[in-house]
Amino acid sequence: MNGKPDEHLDQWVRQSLNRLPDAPPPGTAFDKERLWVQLRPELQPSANPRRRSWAWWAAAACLAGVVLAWLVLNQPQPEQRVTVAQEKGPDAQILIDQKSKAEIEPERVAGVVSTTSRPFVKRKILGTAPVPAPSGGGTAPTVALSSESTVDTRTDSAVSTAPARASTVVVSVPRRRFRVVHLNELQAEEEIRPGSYRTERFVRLGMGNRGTPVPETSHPSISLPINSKSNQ
Amino acid sequence: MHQLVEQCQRGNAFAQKRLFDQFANRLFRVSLRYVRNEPEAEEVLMNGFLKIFRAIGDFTYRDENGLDAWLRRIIVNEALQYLRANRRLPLFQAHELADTQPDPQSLPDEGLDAERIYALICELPTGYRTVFNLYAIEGYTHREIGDQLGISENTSKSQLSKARALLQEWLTKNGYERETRRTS
Repeated sequence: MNGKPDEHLDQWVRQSLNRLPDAPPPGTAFDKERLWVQLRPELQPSANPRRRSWAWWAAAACLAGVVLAWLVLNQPQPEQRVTVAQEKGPDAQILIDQKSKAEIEPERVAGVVSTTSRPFVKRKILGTAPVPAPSGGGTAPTVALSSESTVDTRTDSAVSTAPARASTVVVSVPRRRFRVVHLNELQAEEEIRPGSYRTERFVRLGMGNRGTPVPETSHPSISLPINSKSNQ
Repeated sequence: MHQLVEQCQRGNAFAQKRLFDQFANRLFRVSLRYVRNEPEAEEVLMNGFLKIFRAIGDFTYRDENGLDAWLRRIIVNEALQYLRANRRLPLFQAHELADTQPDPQSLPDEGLDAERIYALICELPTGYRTVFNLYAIEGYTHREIGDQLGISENTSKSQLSKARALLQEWLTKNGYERETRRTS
């Protein structure tokens, strides 16, 4: 009920205010130039972040490019690959080839033993476990090879055994570089190989001067003076 | 104006200066209607323009009225925030009505109707003035005012009613009764 006259008042006030000149209210000391001088420095940082962000993006892109270029230039030679050759029978073979790389599945390849003259074989040994021999043969200790294993071609030889249940086809190899040896043969070689024995005690004969002094704490030496009289 | 806004969106300093020059006086009046104190109104205006230039990238220009409303809304929000920060809101005590009388010295000379009405509005107590500004001039609803000021809709309505009564009384004393009746 009272809304109408009140709304007329509101409207009248609005119309009056719309007629206000585009100038500061009389009696005030507002100076927009002075305010702009204060405002201008505050606006500078608002423009800079955009440039800064672009600079950061550019720097990140350059860095990524450098890293990619480095990776491309320092890319290793095509990886030497491992060919898994499996034959039916208790003495399955895994051949290591230069051109092929095979991922050896732990459940399919029960054990792999390799001997290398140089430590270039990257492998992850999971553990040792006896391999069940399906044909009734004796169990041989084997080393399981993880699927991440890769063998470098610089290895001189690698020997592996696999159970008969594996049935993967052999990849043809142009040249056989690795000698296939059974684990028992390796152990036999270790036993046959002559061991080097350290000399812990020695006997010095003669009167000659020693070139280097021997520390007292070392093993005692026995000096036997040569005396002609003793033989008399 | 559209190009001016586009230039401002690109961060052009000259365009920012032009936009500031075009709206500074008008928005200073808006600010002064809320905070009344001149240095405080300048502070509100400065903070408001900072927000304007930082948010103008998200603004979609349709026409000049839309731009004017957008600028005004930012300044109003900044003024309300200033009043809130300085704990002047809510100030809706009953004694404000009895204690407050317009200062005759602050009123402009006769003949400057708009300036005189503007000065009378600025003389209203803070609570009355804020609700009257938001409802009668900016066009907010009572619910929006309640949300902005943290008061109920009924409080907003009662404040508006008292603000109108006080303003009407002052206008009558200043010889504007016939003017308002004629318009209505």
